[in-house]
Formats: sequence, C-alpha cells, structure tokens
Amino acid sequence: MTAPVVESVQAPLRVGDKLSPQNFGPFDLLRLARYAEVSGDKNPIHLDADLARQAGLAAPPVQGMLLMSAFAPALAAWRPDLTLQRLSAKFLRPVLAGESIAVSGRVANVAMDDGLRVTLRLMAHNAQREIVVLAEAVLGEAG
Amino acid sequence: MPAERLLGTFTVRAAAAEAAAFAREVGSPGQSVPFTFPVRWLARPDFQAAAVEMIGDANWVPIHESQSFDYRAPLTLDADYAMTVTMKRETEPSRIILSAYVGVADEAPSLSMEMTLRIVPLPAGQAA
Repeated sequence: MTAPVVESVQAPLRVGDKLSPQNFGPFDLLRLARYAEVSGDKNPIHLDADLARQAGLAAPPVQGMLLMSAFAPALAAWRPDLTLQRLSAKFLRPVLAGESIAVSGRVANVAMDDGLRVTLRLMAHNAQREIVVLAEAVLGEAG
Repeated sequence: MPAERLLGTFTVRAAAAEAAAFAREVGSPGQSVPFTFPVRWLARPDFQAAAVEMIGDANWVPIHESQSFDYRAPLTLDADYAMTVTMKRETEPSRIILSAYVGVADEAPSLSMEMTLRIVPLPAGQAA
C-alpha cells in the first residue's frame, strides 16, 4: 500500500515524517513559580518541596501544563504553515524541578478532509530517555 | 461511584496583557491567545472548593494526569466567552475530571477541553 502524500505550502507531508527533537528547560523553581503566576495554577505541590516529599516526590514536579505547552512552539517551528487544532496529552512520569525535556514526534496520518489534516504522535523524554508525556496533535491549514 | 455535577456557566476572557505574560512563559508563537491559555480558566478557587466537597476530604493534592484541547475556531483576545463546566468524580482510582466548553451564546463551542486530575491523599492534617 502506498502512503498518502499531500502537498502543502512547504514540503509534501508523509506518514512517518519526523518532528526532530527540540529541547525545553531546564525548568527551575523560579520558572515553576512564574508559570504558577501566569497560569493561575496555585497547586502548592509545584512550589513546596516538603509537600512534594509527602506526595512521594524527590522535588516539586513541573506543572503538566507547562510541559504540554512546549508542544505548540515545537510544532509551530516545524511547520509554520499549519495551525494546531487539537492537542491531547497524558502525563506518564513527573518531571522534577531542575530537569529538562526533549519533545519529538512522527506523522501518523495525512488526510484531505475538508482541508489538510495532519495527525502526529508526540512524546516528551527526560534526560534518562524515559517518556514523560505522550501526546497527539492535529494540525490543519491556517484559516 | 462516579458522580457528576454542572458547576455552571462563567464569562471568561483572554485579556491581552495576561495572554502576553502567559505566552512569554511558555514560548508561545504569535500574538494570539496561546493554545493552552484557557487552562487558566479552570484554576478557580470555587472549582477547588467543589472538588473538596465531592471528595469529602481536603487532605489531598491533585496531580495532572491528562489534558486535551479541541479548537473548532481560534479564540480572540479581549473578547468575552461563555464557559460551561462540569466536574466528574471517579473513585477507582480517585480522580476529578473537569470538562469545559467555551464559545459564544447560540453557537457551537469554539473550544472543548478536558482535565483529569489524579487525587493523591496526604497524611492526616497536611491539607495542601
């Protein structure tokens, strides 16, 4: 079976095309505090090392939404001609204050469905190469 | 046993200054509403209070388990939207799930989002 190929403003997209790893972080405590302020996420576990320890963590965990927010600029840098329409993520492992992530992905589907729609499977790894976030994104042509 | 509650419909707005501050922190491209900015609208103290009431205990911390955003149309800076939110409680394992629909009255929602929080109990007397 031949994989679908769809012409876009940039290069043609194919199933299997890769989103090369892009690094984000390190997410230090100051960054976590700033994100708490702009996001309104006042969950103290992200800022209080004692509370994090009580929850079984060695250090405060980075807000999941701060990690998830890395996908949008990564995708925009990859294909600025496309617009992110859907994004879902599962947070599999905590990323602790001071750590970094690498975001990468692969095209899972390319369709012409009332306009170009590109589905990507995404992931974020920690420094130990463990998957910490699994995500899926759908991009379409900019309206 | 699962339980679900309509928390209500709330007016929300992505104020330009707040969106710009958010965009700086997450490295969001462009001058529009950052993709994940609407999560800010779920961080309301009354939603936290509703979760405490549904769980029947305050000795826990929420751990973000999953999140989704599904846009049918982009949001506009400095525009008012109606956000309707339901909260669902699951017990095996312990979770709170927030579902929200954001849009303009009498039109299909521009955005739907879902947040799943795992509820992690703390030792007695250590409420977050």
